[in-house]
Amino acid sequence: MKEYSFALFVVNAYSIQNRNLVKYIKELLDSELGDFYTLKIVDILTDPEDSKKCGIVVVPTLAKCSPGRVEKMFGNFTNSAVFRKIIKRIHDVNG
Amino acid sequence: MDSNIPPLFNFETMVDENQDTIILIDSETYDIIYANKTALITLNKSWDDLIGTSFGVPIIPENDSFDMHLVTATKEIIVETRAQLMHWHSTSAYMVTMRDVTQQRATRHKLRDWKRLQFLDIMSGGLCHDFNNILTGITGNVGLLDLYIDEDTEPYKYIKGILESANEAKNLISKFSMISYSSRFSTVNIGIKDFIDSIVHVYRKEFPEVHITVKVVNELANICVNRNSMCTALKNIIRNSMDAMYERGEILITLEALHFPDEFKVPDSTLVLDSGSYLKLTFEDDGCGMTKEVMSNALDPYFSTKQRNSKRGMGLGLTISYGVIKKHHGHILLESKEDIGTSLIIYLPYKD
Repeated sequence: MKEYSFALFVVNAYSIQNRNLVKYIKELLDSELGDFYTLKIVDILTDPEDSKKCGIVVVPTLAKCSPGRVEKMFGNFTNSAVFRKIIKRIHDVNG
Repeated sequence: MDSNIPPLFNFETMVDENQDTIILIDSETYDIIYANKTALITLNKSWDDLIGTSFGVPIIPENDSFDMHLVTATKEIIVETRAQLMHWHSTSAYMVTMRDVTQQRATRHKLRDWKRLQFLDIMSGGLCHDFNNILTGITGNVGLLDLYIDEDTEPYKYIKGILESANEAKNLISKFSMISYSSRFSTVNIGIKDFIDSIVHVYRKEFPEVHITVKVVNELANICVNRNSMCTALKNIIRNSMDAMYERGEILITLEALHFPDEFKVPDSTLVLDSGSYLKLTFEDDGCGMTKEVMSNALDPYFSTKQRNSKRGMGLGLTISYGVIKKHHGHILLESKEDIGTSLIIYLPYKD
């Protein structure tokens, strides 16, 4: 199985809201991809270059950086059905 | 129908001229295929820079919205974001609408904080009242016990100790009830000049190296205040000035009656006064002044630049003054420059 590399772009990475979001995303990625992924958290205020490179406009945005082309998703990740569907599709295409 | 009447709207024009940021994303490639004028301005990008770039998959249920942060090189705003699947020139696309709600969300937070503070105020007012009743029971009973014990005995010292501590606690409680908006409040009519003079008189005697001048700009009307709490509030302000000048220097107190027929925006501040009559009291000192950081905390409870346990107060003085002025529906403004001095301005409304 290929290893996926994700980056989560947020504002104020250490806020309670964002810590909960990271926990939630990790749980979902764990259940869909097991150990075959890495997740990097990028605070776009402290790391503007990274977000500029990925063309991030709104946050929170989750980007699948590799394998394949960068794919981004933004919005309410706690809406698990849609989010799960997108991760499954990414896995079907790249896995 | 009159053929000269133009159509009510043209859909594309409506989208293009919309004040919200509107972006269309191809539902298969998730690339931007359209951006309205507001989008180009908000994102600070040209049409060519934006069209064809990847925006991402929206995870927002239809007919729902989600608050997101929109960050550009120059600003960070909160946008209420919606995504709607639609047809755009025979292409299936997501229409992502982002409305700037930064101001509304800030107001909502302020309102929530205000409600929380109001609850705390009611609670602290009730606590002050109940605690005062308990302390009255302690001081009353210990006072009676005092009558039965000989002054030369060891237990008498302990009783005196209990009474002193209980009275200190009562004093502290009375300070807190001064700043609790919900506590009881009776007012009397006073002449402000005489009132200030009586306070200043005490300080002039106690601190001869501080020169206090009271200046009256125009004819002053009598004003309705709670005598005790207002006296404490003004004393605290003067005391604070004295501490800032290490009990040597000049304090100028200016009294002025003002009348605003319309709403009045106080220069160099965000304060807007309702129309009506006000008494303006200005306390200027040539003390050490305050840094911006100190100034922003100066009215907070238990904030003090004085050394802890220095017996020069514990940081409640200006908080009490602020609370008392607020209870009188007044306003306090602070202006200060480090090493130059501080001005504290009070606007107290009164009825003609």
